[in-house]
This record gives sequence, C-alpha cells and structure tokens, in this order.
Amino acid sequence: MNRAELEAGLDRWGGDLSAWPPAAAQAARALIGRDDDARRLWRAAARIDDHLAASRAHSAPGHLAGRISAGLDTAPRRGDALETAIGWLTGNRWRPAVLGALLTLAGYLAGVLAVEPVDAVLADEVATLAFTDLYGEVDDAQ
Amino acid sequence: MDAADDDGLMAQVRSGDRAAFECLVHRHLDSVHRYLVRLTPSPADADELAQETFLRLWQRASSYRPGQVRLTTWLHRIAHNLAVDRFRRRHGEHTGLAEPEALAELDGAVTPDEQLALTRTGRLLDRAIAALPANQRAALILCQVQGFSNRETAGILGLSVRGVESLIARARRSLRRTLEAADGAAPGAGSEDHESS
Repeated sequence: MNRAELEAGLDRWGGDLSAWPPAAAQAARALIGRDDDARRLWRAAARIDDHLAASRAHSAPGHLAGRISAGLDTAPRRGDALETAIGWLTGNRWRPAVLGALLTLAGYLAGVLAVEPVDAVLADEVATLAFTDLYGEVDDAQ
Repeated sequence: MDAADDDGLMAQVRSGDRAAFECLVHRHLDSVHRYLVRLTPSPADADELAQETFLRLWQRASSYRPGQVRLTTWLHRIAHNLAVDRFRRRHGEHTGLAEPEALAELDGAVTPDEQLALTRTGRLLDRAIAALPANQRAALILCQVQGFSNRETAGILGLSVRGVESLIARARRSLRRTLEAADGAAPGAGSEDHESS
C-alpha cells in the first residue's frame, strides 16, 4: 500500500482500521508503522472519527417533548376527515335521512344532465316502422 | 431499542394512542434533534423541525409500513425532507449551513467538563463540518454519528449507495485536509498519540 491508497482507504472507511477489510487494514498498519506522513494522515482521520463519536452524546432541550405533545391538539390526523364524517352521520337520527335524500337528488340530476337526449328524428322513424304494413304482413304470415 | 417495539407502538399510534406516541418521542427525540442540529443553521430551527417531524409521525402514522423500513429511518427521512424544504424556501436552492456559534450555543452554560471537551480540534472540526456542503454533511452525520448504514442513509437522502459513499469520502477528505492545514499552521497541535484500533 502507498500513501495515496492509504488516503483513499481513510476517506472510505475512516481511521478505525478494525472497520477496514482485513487485508487492507494489515497493509495500512504496515505503512503507518514505517512512514511518518502516513501516520499523520491516519491520526487526522482517527481524530475526526473520535470527534464525530463524541457528538453522539446529545440531548434535545428538556421542554421540547412537552411542546410536541401539546402540539397534537392542533394537528389533524390523516384519516380524521372520514372519522368526522362518520361521526356526523351517526350523531343524529335525521342525518342519514337527509344524506339519503341528497344522494337521491344527486342521482336524479346526474341522470337528467348526463344521459344523452334521444334523437327525435330517430325516434319518429322507429315509431313509423313499428306500425308499417311490412310489420303487419309479417304478423299475418305467422 | 427494538424495532419490533417501535412497530408495536406505531400500531397503537395509528389508533390514536397518545401515550404510545409520547413513548416514541421519548425514544427518538434526542437522535432526531441531534441530526437536525447538525443540519440546520440554528438550535431554534432544529427545535421547530423536530417538533414538526413528530407531528408528521402522529398525522401520517397510517402511511408507515413496518417491515419495509425501520421507524428511526422513516423519522430521519421526514426530518431531512422538512429541513431541506424549509431552507430551500428560505434560501432558494441553498440549504442553510449551521454556524459554529450556533453549535456552541446549544449547550447553554458551559461546565468545566464541557469546557475541556471543547478543545481546539473540536471547535475546528465543528466549524469544518458546518462548512461542508449540505449533502456531504448529511451523509457524514447520518452514517458516522447517527449510526445508519450506507444503504439506510441512501434511503433517507434519496440517493444511491454509491452516491452516499462518494459524499462521505469527500466529506472525510475535506475534514482531514482542514485538520492537516491547522496542524501545519500550529506545529505540535494534534500530535497526541492515537493507538490503532
């Protein structure tokens, strides 16, 4: 291993050589043992690791948990809208009847507005055909 | 901390159990806050975002899929996205950088023990970490401080594992060069022996 390879390893795996692949760690230890610059590189990486590890000891401010719990009262939950609707429906006897009437009205309006009107000319043709002699003849033949 | 316990508590949270929610806050708040403190420019931002993160957990408990992802990973993803959104809105595409003064302010009154811990190297590294590009800082903190695997970090940041590895390597290199430059400027500094692990 040369110094550049050691640097690449330190950047990738950090200064804790026990976390390196065994062969690379062995080569790194050998280089660090004989090369002052390599040892300096490794020490810098290890100091960074130590510093990062030390920052794991962190506590959130004491008041924050209480603030979070207090905030729940003003935080609507996803799914609450459905629960509210169900609650409204079951809250009073007349409410399901009103909902049924509204749905019936909505269905009627949808039918009136959405269904295509029958072509008046086509309707006349069908009516004429129904009462022609041809139909009468067929009936006679039977 | 057991992921299965977390999933059990989440099932209770889904049915509106506030005690289960508070238990999850107690378990995960320090970790989420620690991440946000490193990611955001001020302790007040970290507090607000941590609060918002847990309120999202409460509001969207039904969208959590146990077995697909650990709760802590899910929470960090929420926290990260909230932080990025907030600072994108505030600064355009630039994500806010934590100032070292803000980090020092975190602990309030400094005790003698803490004073010892605030070594020259520590301050230098805090400043260097705060100055890293936000994505490098996030990847480094998630892996090296929060203890996530590269794969989990990739999931939180919405990147590939290879992308995360690259960010961490660049962050480490940048920090190492900062230390080397400081050691060069102040001979003798950082010469303490560090036994190989």
